Amino acid sequence: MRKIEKLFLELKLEVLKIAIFRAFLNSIIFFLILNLVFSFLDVAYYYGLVLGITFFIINAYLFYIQTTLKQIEDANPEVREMLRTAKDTLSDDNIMIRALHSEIVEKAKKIYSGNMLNYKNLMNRLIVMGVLVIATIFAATLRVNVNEIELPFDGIGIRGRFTSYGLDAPVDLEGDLLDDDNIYGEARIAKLGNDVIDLNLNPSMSELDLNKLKDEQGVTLGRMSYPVDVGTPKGSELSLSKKPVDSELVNAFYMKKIAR
Amino acid sequence: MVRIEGVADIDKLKDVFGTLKKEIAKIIIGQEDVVDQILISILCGSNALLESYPGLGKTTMIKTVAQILDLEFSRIQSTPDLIPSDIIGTYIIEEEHGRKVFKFRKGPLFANIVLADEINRATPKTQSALLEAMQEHQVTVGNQTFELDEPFFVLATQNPIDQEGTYPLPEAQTDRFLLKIKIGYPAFDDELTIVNNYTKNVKVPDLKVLLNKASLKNLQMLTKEVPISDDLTRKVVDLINETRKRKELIEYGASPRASIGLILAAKAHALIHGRKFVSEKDIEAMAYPVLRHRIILNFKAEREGKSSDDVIKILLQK
Repeated sequence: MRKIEKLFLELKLEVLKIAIFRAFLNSIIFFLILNLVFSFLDVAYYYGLVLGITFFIINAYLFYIQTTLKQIEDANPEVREMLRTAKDTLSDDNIMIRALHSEIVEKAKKIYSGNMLNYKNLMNRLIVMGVLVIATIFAATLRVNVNEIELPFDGIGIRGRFTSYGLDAPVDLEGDLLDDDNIYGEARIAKLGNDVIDLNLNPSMSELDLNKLKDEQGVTLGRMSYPVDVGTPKGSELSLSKKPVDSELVNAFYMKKIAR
Repeated sequence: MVRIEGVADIDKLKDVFGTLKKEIAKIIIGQEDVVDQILISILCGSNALLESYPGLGKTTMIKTVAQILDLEFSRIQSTPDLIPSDIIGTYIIEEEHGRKVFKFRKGPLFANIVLADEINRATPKTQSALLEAMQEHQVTVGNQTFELDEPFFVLATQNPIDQEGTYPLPEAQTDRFLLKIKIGYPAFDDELTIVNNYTKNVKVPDLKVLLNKASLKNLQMLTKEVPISDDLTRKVVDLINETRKRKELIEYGASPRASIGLILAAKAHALIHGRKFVSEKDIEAMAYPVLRHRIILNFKAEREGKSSDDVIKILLQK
């Protein structure tokens, strides 16, 4: 293969490098945007990864086929006319054409992929990536989950609940719930799920007293956490058997605990 | 002498032409563009028409070029009483071994570079004899044909003033000249140097012979091999086509000979400036000398005071 034909092949490879690099940057931005959106929807990260890779392949291919010799010439004006003339006279051969090809091969050593990058665009993309990364980290710390936002309209007012680990989130409850202790049932009896649990304990063991519930130091009661210390009233006999209970009452009990 | 054997020798050509121009500059002060255009017409193996006022060094310039290129030079001063045999040659009777024989005495046309001064003063009959020699590189006398020595160039001059009693060359014949070179007045500093050189007892520098006929033939062959891109070729043909379409400025446009001439001249221009390909700059530089004598402006353009160069500039800007 003649040197000039090798040169055109090398130029194509340079174009491919640029196409891959630009598609890589674009696909990272695409992935970060998807990741940010998916974090609100509690969707696993690998869906974003798969879509990002697909986007990268399509983007790289489109960039490659759209980049023409003209763009290389525009990016390297000092060899523009030489490249154009060499391309048009590839099928001819005489001493002047060989001399031209020789000169282009020498000058082409100075053509590198960096010339074809628009640095302003590159900086803009990096800034966007930085902003998206910060937004993603911020969103991750908030643990916002759109799926868990409950907005029922059942006549007793709007109830909403946000879960946040490590933060004391104020709860706004409306209605008669707070005023009626009876809905919590007997405070002495712990109700778990839909069952009533009667604990039978050896009277010689520590007493079970729900009124003496203590939180572990530094741990705020939240969803799915239960009191560590359980006490039984003196003289009471508790047996563990399953009876149907209202899970809402259990939830309400803990909500009251949080409100205190 | 210039010997082109490989690609490496092509890189040396720029230095060769640089040295050539420096040698010419020992005698001719300034006028670099004119010298370039004369060299271009020689490299293209074609003829040039020089238009200048008297006393601008045309004869000296062409004599210098001929000396450096080791070419035989002759000068024809055209007058109305000049007849074809005065330039072609004629048969004369000579005595040889006691016998009278007709021998053909060659005229001034039998040289390598012929300067036909004020060609517009010669009669049409004499002009056509010259033009035939320019075209065919041969002359016919009686029933005998004589080949002219290669390379053969005619550099004809015209005076733009003193048009009384002249026979202007018809456009069909000016079309045979590749370039029409306009020689202007020298710059002030150049004229100062000319005056100093020619009014004192300054020794005329010896000129070195830098090229010979064989080298010149090599260079002429190389000129045709200079590559040009397809879009530039299309641009040239498009430009020539424009000269035929722009009826609001041009009465008669240029012929396909102009397209050929412009591309050849652009190739020679590229070679002289050390380029191995034809650039857009070469086309733009050569458009003026190639086209100015091939387009005829209409009355409206002339009334507006436009010259051929102005119109060519408008066409190039399109």
